[in-house]
Amino acid sequence: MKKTIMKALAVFLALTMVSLLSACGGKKQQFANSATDIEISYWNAGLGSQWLENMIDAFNKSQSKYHAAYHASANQKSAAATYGTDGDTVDLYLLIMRPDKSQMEPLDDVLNATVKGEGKTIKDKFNTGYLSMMENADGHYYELSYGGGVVGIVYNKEHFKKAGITQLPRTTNELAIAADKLNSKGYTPFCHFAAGGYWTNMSELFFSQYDGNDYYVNNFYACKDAAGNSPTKDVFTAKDGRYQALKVYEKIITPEYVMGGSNSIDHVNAQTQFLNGSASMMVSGSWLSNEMSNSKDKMKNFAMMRSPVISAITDKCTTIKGEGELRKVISAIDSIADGDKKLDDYKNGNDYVIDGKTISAADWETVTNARFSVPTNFTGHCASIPKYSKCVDGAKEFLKFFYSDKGYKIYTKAVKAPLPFTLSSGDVADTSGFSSFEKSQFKMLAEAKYTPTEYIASKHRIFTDGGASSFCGVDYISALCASNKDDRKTVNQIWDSIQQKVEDNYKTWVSDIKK
Amino acid sequence: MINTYKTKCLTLLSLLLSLAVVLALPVSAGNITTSITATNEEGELNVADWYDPNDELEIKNGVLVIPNDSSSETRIITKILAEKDDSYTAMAEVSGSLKFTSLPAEEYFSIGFGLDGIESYSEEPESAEILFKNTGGLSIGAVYYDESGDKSEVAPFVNAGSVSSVLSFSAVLYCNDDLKLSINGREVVSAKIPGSLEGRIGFLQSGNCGAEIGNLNVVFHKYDRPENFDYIETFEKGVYNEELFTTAYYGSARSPAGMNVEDYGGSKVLMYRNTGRCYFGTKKQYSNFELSFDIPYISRETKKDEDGNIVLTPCDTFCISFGDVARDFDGWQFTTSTELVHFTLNTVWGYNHKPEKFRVPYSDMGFSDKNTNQGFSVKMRMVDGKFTLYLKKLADTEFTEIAAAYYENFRTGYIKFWSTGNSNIAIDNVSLKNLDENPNLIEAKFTSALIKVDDFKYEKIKPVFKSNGKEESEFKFLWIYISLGVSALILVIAFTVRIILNKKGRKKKNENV
Repeated sequence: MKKTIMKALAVFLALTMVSLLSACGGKKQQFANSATDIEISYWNAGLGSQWLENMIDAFNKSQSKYHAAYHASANQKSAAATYGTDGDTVDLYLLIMRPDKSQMEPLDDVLNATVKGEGKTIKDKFNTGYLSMMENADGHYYELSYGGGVVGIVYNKEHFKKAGITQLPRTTNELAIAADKLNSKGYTPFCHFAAGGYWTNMSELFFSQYDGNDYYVNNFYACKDAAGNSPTKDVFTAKDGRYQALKVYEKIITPEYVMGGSNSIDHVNAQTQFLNGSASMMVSGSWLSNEMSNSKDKMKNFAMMRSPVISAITDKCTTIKGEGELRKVISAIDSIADGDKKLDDYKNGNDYVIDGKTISAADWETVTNARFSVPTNFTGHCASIPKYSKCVDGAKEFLKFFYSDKGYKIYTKAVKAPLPFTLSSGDVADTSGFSSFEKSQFKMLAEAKYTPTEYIASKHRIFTDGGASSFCGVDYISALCASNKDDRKTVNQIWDSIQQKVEDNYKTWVSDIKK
Repeated sequence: MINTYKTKCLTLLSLLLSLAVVLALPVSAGNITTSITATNEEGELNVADWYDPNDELEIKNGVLVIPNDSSSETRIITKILAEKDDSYTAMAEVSGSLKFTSLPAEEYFSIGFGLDGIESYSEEPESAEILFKNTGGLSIGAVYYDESGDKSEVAPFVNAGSVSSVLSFSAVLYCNDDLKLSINGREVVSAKIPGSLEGRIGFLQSGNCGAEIGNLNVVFHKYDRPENFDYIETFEKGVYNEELFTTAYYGSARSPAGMNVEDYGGSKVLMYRNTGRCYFGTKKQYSNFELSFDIPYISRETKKDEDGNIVLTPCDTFCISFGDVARDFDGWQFTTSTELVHFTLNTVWGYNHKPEKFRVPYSDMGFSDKNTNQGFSVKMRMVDGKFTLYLKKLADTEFTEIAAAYYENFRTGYIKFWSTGNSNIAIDNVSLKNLDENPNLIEAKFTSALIKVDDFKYEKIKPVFKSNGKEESEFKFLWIYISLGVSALILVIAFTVRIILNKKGRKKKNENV
């Protein structure tokens, strides 16, 4: 009898444990791989997940045919791990831009769609400069942005006021003047983080400003010379806007002007020190207020300035002679953008007149395009649909919802940062309750004609597969401001280093394309 | 036991060496002399020290060329400012060779003093200019623009030869507001300026003036007088003064390890225990200074634990860096420190990316017992670039000089005590004295470096599981009740069946019996 009782007890305990297991843990997130379930893989690069949860929630409630769910990783490689593999069930990837579009579904029909109740297509809501960066060489769009931000020079308003800087730098020479004024008042003008910080974004800006967006996208990053030959070494050896960008840095990225230690600290450390007043300016982006959410009160003292125009742009102008005239033209252009003046106040036939000086239409346009070129990294955060997905239509519907006015409002409310499009009315999103810094991001993007970035969908494979890059991996920022004199380089030494890299590696870059 | 003869020889040698160096070379920080030229080492325009607002100027064959088609916008201005100080008479000296390629009669070329910004123009209020004019020959004079911009002649124009000749010029700006210019060794301008000319120096013009300036050199004098403290850190409060000092710790290869204030020998000390890369450094910069500290403990032994793991090593290299450009460094940046004094157990040397300044095998000098873990005391003095190193026994009162060197480019900066790896050493009584003339001292307050963290206030929340937008309880208690019920039912059924079978079995048995 005793044995029987013990056996019975064992069976009872076993059954109880098995049933307990079934009660624990709750219901696991299941991704049903079907034509109506949308599985989203999200690279959480600092935007947080709240916006996506809200978006998915709203999308699922808005219709009954499809059901979306997501999984996220802070590691981009983990988020992309299943892409293109056998058995991949992900229907929508939110990742960095991928050069290989062969397994991606074209998104042209998403762009050409008009959301019910909106008066224009999704494409018409997008910034045209941005779209030009997303158009693939075959004329299709395979990726569209889900995040990222505007990049620019953020400055400490109090430092500027105390240094007596009343005019925000309109040109890069004026940026050097501001740095000098700050330095003479005991402030450290700049800080960045290791490997040049976000200055690389400004380098693309200055490059694009100097040579024009057309050369930047359709020649340099298409690796194509004026005669149409591609690939060509000429684009790497030309002393173009890249060289002029280095000349800009020669005046401002100096050991005297840059916070000590900048060349070795990480971006959080740099941003924290910047917000604590250790430096007066730092190149950063829309994510600054999100990433530094513990310093929200301090953010009130910071703003992002409009992109300074590279002073050397006068090389490309026939009627603008010198720095003084360039600044006047920029002030005139700004006055129109700020609503203080109208275009007709300056127009004179085909030309423009500023303080009695005639400026050609071509020069006006050159400077306007430069002034309203805004570096961004939206193209570094891309939504794409694998063409083998079982729920391609569903994923597209999700994207149409995301890019609808309703979807954009959900995004901006959570992230408080812009995307490169507007509401169907043409207005930016509702920014009431946003900080002045956050509002400025929307304004800058709304003004933007071009959004220079190295993440261009159509860029030649010599960059994506071959390994070429605009500055060939030379860390010019560190070299210009190294505290140790032996490590410091001049612009011409840096340029020579870049050219040597081209000389040493061009053939390898080309051969790597063919693999 | 101190080898008196050897020590005296070394001391004498060091003194003679340092004296020779001081006599031969100009002094530097606190008293800093900065010399800037138009060209950098690459033979290009020296944009580190000069600002060319219109990017018009260039260097050709080592000569600064100002084009003939210049305008009033064409100018070049120093980034460094001339400053007055009681410790020197001349603020700045400008010299070189000057040849005009274009000097129209109605225009002028000038050397400007007291300029406010790097984009300053000619005729700036509160500035002075030495003007070069073409009056049939070369005429040179000086003018001053007052705060309203009104011009007054402060030195009459004199004939200085032909416009086309090459001039050797030297202009000196004095702290008493005198301005003098010599051409080919002859004084042609001597002006008393009715205002201060602290500020930048530049080459300016009214327009259409072309020139070639060779061997351009501008010397600025400055007395670097950073704001800092005289202070002795004894660590007796159990913590260092966070108002004045900072620390950074970058890990260790050994355990236990750390850099903490600890009790040692009846006193509190800063103990570096098996430290990797870390430092204890100043939060203020020092120009001329005296630093002294005790090393009550320095490990000279290896210890292992019961498992044979090394838990203590002889102290590896530790360093004192000074003139550091940044207050906060990362772990490897001691290798880029401006100046570094390295100590091992046997030798001390001064070196960092430059030729070695000195090397002394101090362990044979008897400042500490090599058979114990007791240390010694160190003193360093830096005055106008002259560096002197002293050691003494812990119990002694007088220091002995063991090395001296001249640091010609020494700059004001931060001071740090570095562990570069496997340091087992304690420091105590860290004394800092500002040795600047008319030091810029501020009162040292005490702030404890202990970080106090308040208890985190949190609210317990009920975990919520969401599925398809609905909240669901994660732990399904109902399933447990059902499971228990089913389990119990199964048992009851099993028992009942067993009992019935047993009864049947017994009955059958009884029947068979």
